[in-house]
Amino acid sequence: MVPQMTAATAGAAQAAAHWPVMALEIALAVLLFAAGLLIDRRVSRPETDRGPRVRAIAHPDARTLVNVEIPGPRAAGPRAAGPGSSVAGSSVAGSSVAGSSVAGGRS
Amino acid sequence: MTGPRTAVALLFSPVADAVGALAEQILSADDAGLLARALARLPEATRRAGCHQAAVQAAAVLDVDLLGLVVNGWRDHRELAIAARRSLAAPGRVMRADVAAHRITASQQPAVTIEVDGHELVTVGFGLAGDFEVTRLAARISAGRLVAFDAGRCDAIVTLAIQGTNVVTRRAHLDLAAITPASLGFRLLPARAYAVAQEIEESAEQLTYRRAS
Repeated sequence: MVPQMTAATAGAAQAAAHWPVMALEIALAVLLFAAGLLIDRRVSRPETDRGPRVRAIAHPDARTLVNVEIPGPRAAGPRAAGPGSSVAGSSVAGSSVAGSSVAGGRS
Repeated sequence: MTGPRTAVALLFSPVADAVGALAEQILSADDAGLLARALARLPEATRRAGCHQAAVQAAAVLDVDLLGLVVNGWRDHRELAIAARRSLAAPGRVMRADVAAHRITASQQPAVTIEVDGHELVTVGFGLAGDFEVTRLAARISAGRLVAFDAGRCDAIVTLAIQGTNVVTRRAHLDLAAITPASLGFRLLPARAYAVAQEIEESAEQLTYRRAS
């Protein structure tokens, strides 16, 4: 014969079975939280912990040394071109037009 | 233009990874052991990172437009400069300049410094030299700028040096007639010449306007 349980006894038994499950859930949640914290710390670790920080800095040569050699006596000398450089050599442009082989212009 | 347009593209044209090739050249060109000594104290990964970053920066500063170097030389060319001055004095007029064979040499010496934790470790010096033989050049010049090529041939030899040692030399042929200059053309005169010409033109316009009114 199956013993008859009162409603109160059944409720107490159910509650007793519920507590271990809840404890397990809480433990799991705490574990996950801790794991999350650990991962986050690893990701956001300062760069200095990862090894030396290396970088390269370019120093472009703003001055291009240019030289024009023209067969004959009209050779131009070397000059530096580029930002910040002098306009040395531009005197060539202001010189006499003698010897120019420029053909007639077209409109 | 036939062939590569920039120095890096020409020097490392058969190689897809120009930066990787340059990193190798930086290490192999270190005859004096300057770089090796400087990097020896560092872990392997840091050493590689340093060389790679130096190569990245070097590739950027060496990516020089070859035609730009030639145009720099033309600014010193008497005949082209005279034609440019004349065209600047005659707005709207296009002049043709037939220029005799000439040779232009151009060089730059950029450098790249490798820093570790903010401290300067080593500076790698580069040398880029271009030797251009220009023949049968016929150009159209307007408003002081070279606006079109009718003909012309340019044989270029470009050399890259690292720490004073020549490491790569390449030749290229530029067919000038196939090149279309940018919309305004290549400037053949100093910037000041264009500013003065513009001022004169504006003054003339104002004078004409006053006379008309």
